[in-house]
Amino acid sequence: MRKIFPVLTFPFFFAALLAGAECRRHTVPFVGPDERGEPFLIQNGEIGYVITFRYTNPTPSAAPSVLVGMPLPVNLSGFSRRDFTWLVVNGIDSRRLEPKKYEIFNSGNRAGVHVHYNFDGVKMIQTFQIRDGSPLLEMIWTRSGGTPPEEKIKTLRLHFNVMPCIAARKSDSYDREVVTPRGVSENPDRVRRKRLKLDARDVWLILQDAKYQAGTHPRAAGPVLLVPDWKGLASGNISFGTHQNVFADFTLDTGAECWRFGLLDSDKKRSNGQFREFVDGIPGLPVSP
Amino acid sequence: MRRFGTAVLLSAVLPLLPLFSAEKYANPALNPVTFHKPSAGKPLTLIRGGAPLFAIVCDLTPETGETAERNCVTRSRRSVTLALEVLQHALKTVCGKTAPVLTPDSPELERFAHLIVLGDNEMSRKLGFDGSRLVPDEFQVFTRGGSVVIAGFDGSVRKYYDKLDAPRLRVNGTAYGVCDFCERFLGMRYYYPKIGIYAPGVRDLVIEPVSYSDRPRLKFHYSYALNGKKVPGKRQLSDFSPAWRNGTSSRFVCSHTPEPRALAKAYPDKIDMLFFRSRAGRLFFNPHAHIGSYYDITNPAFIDFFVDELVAKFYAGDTEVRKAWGSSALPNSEYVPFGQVDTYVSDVVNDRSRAYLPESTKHLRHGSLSDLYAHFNIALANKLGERFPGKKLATSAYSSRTLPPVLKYDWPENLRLKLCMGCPVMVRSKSFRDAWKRVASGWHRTTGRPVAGYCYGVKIFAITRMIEGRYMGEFIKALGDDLWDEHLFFDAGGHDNRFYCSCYPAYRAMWNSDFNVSAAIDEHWELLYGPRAGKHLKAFYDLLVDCWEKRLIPSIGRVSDDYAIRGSVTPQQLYKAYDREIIGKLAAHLDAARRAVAPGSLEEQRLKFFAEPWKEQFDMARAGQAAAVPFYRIKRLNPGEKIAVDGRADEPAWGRADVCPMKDSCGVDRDYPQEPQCRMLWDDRGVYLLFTARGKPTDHPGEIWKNSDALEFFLSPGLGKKVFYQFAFNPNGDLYQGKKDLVDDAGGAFACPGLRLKSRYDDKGWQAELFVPFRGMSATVPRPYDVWFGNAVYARRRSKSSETLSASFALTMRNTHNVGLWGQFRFMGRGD
Repeated sequence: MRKIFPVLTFPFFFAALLAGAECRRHTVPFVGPDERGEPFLIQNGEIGYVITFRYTNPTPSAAPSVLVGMPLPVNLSGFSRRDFTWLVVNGIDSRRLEPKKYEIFNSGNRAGVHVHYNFDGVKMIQTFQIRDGSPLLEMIWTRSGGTPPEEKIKTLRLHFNVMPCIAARKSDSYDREVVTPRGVSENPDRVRRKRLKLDARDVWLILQDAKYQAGTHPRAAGPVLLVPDWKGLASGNISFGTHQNVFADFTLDTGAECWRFGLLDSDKKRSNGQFREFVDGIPGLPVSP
Repeated sequence: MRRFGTAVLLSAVLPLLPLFSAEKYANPALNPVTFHKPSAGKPLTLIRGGAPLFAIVCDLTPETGETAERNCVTRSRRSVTLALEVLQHALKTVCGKTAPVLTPDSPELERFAHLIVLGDNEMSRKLGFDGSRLVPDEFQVFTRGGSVVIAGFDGSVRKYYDKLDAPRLRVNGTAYGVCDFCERFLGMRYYYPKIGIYAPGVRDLVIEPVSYSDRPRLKFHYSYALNGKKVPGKRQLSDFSPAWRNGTSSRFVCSHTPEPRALAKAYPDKIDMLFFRSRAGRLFFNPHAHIGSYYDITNPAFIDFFVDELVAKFYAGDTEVRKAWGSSALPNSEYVPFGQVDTYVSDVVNDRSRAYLPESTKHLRHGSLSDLYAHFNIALANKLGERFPGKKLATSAYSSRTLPPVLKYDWPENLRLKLCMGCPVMVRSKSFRDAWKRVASGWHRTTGRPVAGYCYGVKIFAITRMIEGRYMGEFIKALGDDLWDEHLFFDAGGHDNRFYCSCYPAYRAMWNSDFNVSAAIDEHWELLYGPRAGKHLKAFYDLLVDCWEKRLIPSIGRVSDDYAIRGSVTPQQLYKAYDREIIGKLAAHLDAARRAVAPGSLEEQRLKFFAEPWKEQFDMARAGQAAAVPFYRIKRLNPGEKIAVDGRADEPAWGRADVCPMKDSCGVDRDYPQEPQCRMLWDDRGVYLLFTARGKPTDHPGEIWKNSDALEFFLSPGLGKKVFYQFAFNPNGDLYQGKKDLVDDAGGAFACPGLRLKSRYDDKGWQAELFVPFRGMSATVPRPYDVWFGNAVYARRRSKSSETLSASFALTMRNTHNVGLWGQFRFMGRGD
């Protein structure tokens, strides 16, 4: 029986290994006019992800924010290109903060970017990285060594916003499903959103759609994979239904050293079955305890 | 048979021919006058070969010496004298010569084939003028017996004035008649003083028999005092008001009177009785400025004092009581004015007022106090009527009492109201028009009589200032018979000759609301600027109007009655309609006009004057279209750090605070040698502000809103824009605090408990520290990274007459209360 995750430790081969992991600033910011963007291309020989930090402007009714988006490998669907993840520390939402610095690293078999935040004295680092031979983008939150000891983390919640398998027409309603080692959770009552409680058995989640399996929009693709490391998690929920967006949120264990997630998105159009096969073939993918 | 028919036709038509030929003097670009059947006679050759062939006859006796002094005929009331000056100036300008001036009994009269007789005198009466049938300001122009008579109802001749009359009161029918004659027959045009006067060359002038008359529809056809300041060129007329038909025959007068500081100075022992004390115990008396005081109209003793002391002693000639009224509107032979101080106070609840504060109007920004003031005004008028029968009370429906009251009252005969409402430039909006009509007709129904009017211009944009006057006629017509013909004041924020395209038609429309604005404006471009430049300027102006009527007005949609009372256009609405493309076209038209005038010419001089305000307006528009919401990070004080608020700003923490950038509030590229700067810090108790400016500031203790430099600081907690707080101070440390509820649009003076201010200045500069506690604003302490809206505005004022320059954090387009354009302040966290 395979041991658990973390996904970060399993063997680094999957199909042909071509080039090594690399991170650099991307040339296209994927932001609106007059907005600032900080895009990073994180790739290996097999797949490339672009993560952007999009600085929205203040408006007469809204404050500015910094949104983390994943416009590539799939621009329209998958992990939201505009705002796919955010962390809330002691009630402070990371989207209200401006990162203090971005540090690109290319070291050995992994490459990525460290993003430094200050949550009212609690210093945290968000890391996006990829390893040689792995299709997964890893997102890791850690507490920065610069945090004074008196600054305690009382609460931690992490959120994801995902839109797999986008339809061609905006008005279409969806039929989202969540697949975990426990099975397939469907939405037979066709509610807008239903809530599914997650636990440590859900070592990976496939977010898919029963109706629009590979996505019918020309710029859409199929399901996405989310791999939470339950060592750092206290609980989790996922909301899905007929609505386009699927929201996953996790309460993090404040005592953990770090909090890790694996993300996989692909621009290849795959049906649900094909994607499941693809996932099953990822070496080192954890199995449910 | 045919001959008979022709004879019948001719006999019917021939008598009318003089009338038809007189109608040829109707000019759509001039005031519409009433033509009458003229006396039979030959055409009069008044000018031949450039030489006047007539003498001017007038009797100036009533307007000179002791007679004038006795009858209070001041300079601006010398109708016949002014008429003579206008006529001579016109002759000198059109043909280079003036005409001799004779008295009606002069033996020289026989030497002249023709006479132009000015004013009501022995000769004009002999020629058929009957002033007794005229109303004030009315005039007649007619030919008879080889003469032209231009005469009207003149206050100087009719002994109209008394010593209590305001200087603005002037009844100058003859002067208006001469201005019309010069326009209609000599081709003169009086757009604005000095270079704004157009005079054609006239070599020959022959006038057919003619008779016409004219009179103003509104007795008050005036606005702010006119002056020729800032207009290039030589002074040509000593008084320009007749040319614009500016004057009034009505004694109705109403303002914010008596002036509170003058009154308090004269009656220091009565301050507690005179001024309102709130439930919280605050006395609304501000010794430093007009705004901030508030008379206690809930107190019956105030009414007794007003009538028995202030009014009675004023009429008795008591000079000390005269001073107590201040310099604003004063009682006169017909009216006694009362106007609450221009301070907004929403809570006037006490045992006396409660019965007149209906629940149904409690939340109306413009009606919450209507019933209370109705009760007060009626009581005051009744008391006045008992003590001074024949005198009328003149007061206003303004601010929180603009809407009619909802309870029933018996309105006395001696109470007259002025309704302060409406921006004529918005008249093309049905929603605005309907709202105004509802309010005005509501007052008419309630009181049984029409109301006087007070309407507003939109001063902050050159675009609105240039076109608003053309809608005055429509505005007057929109109110119809609900508008009392006694009085309409146009508060366009003062008079600026560069916007004569507004002033000229506005004043003409106040004389006659049928004035053809388009014809008058269309005619003038070529006259003032020549055919080539005139064509481009016409295109410029037409585009301004077109964009207003076809883009902006339709974009506004429905507005509430409450908004329509004082609302107009926001910068966002304006700059959406006047987008980059339109601004580009306007600028191109002006440039084309500049290229079309000869250098050094009079046309070039006029064009430069016309174009003066437009660069700034274009810059404002472009800045407004591009404007991002400014954003400032307020750093947090570290544990153990304190700010002493002593004006020294020597704490190290200030070194960490970012500078809050300030630039021209209209986005105009302007340098501020004073380098005004703000910095802010915060902790759990409140916000600290440090302001610095280089150089010696202008400081008049007690003055914050004029005559002194000032810093205004605004805070609106959260992003909801539900309320804002305003703190304004001058270098002397005089402070104004205000609060406004943006939901109810209600607010006024406010005291922030715990607020501290220390201001210091010398020749080198001005520095001030301000601490605003959160609790004092009843605001929740912000959490780290919360965002509030706000603004900081520095006003630089050199002297009383100079323009205020303002540098601001946000581009609020000269309106510091423009909440929609404010910037954001983010409260940063520890370690940021």
